[in-house]
Amino acid sequence: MSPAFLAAVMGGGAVAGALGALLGIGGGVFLVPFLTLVLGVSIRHAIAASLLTVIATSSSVSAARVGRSLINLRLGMLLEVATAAGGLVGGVTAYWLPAQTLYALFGCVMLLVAGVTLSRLHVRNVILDSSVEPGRYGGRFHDEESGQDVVYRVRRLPVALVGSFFAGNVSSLLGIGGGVLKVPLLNAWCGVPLRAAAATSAFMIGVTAASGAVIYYGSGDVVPPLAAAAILGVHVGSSAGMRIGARASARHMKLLMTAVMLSVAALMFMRSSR
Amino acid sequence: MKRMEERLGGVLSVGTIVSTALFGSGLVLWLAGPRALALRVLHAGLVVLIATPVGRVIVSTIGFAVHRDWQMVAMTSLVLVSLALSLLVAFF
Repeated sequence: MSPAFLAAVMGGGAVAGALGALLGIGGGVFLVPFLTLVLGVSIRHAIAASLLTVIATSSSVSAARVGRSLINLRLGMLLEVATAAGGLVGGVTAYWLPAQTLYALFGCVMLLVAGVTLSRLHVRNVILDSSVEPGRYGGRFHDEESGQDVVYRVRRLPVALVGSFFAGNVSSLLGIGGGVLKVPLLNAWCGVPLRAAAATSAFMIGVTAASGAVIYYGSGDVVPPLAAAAILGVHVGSSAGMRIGARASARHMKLLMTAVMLSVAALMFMRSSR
Repeated sequence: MKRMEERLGGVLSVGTIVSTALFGSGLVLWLAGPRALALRVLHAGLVVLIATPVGRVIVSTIGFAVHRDWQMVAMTSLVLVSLALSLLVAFF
């Protein structure tokens, strides 16, 4: 592995990390296609490296966010049960479902979620009256965009659990954090404001990816120098992404996320037709 | 709850700093020459990296137990069981 190759991996990791931190979806969505299509890394090695960067992003981003109440600890840890189980089952089902079917299926899911996010572009889930009780799994945080303390309640908890299970599945299979599914789902159906959904998802993603990464590590698909270069790049990128994320408006984040999901969907369909 | 959040942040920060240091020095060693040593350092970094979220779940389980929030203790324990199962699948 040449210095130039490792530098390219680091650069790709930086871009992926910035976008991942900004959107709360982890950088895998960008890193896997970059490593495989641009640098010619094998898909399993790329997925393994990507899952590891997802853990790194989750840990560093959440460590920096702690104490600002954006991360909904109770909701996150409840949903982790579903994502971790989903990650485990995903690892097993990967053996008997044909890859083409999986790619096509996830392409469809991604399109669906993109549609829902676009249709809810102007809806805000926050209750600006801060005396409202958030309930057992709701939350309260200081919103920098409106400069106010905001409260939200969580609705349709079973939907959030089922969605998180699926997200864990996708994570194990494709080396992405699964936030691509969780963030829009929590935002559109469960009443969690986008910023809190992104922070909570980023927090959960580490555990989800750890369950998948362990399986790849055990099967020898982790290439240490490749993974290390990607992770160092992602650290640089995610700290930049967080600085932008605090100021970016929720509407722009939703638009950016929709664009991301559409490109991921296109990629899935391309793969499935091969 | 606030104290627990700070503790979780502590686990995540330490894990991030230690693994990053190991990855950085491992890569420098890799490029400088002693590749067997470099691989050992990089593998240590990978273990710390993967153990960080697992450690975070363990600390939250303890935190919820201290708060006598048994429902959340049950949830975080289930997460730990799930992680243990992946370890089993991976290595046995």
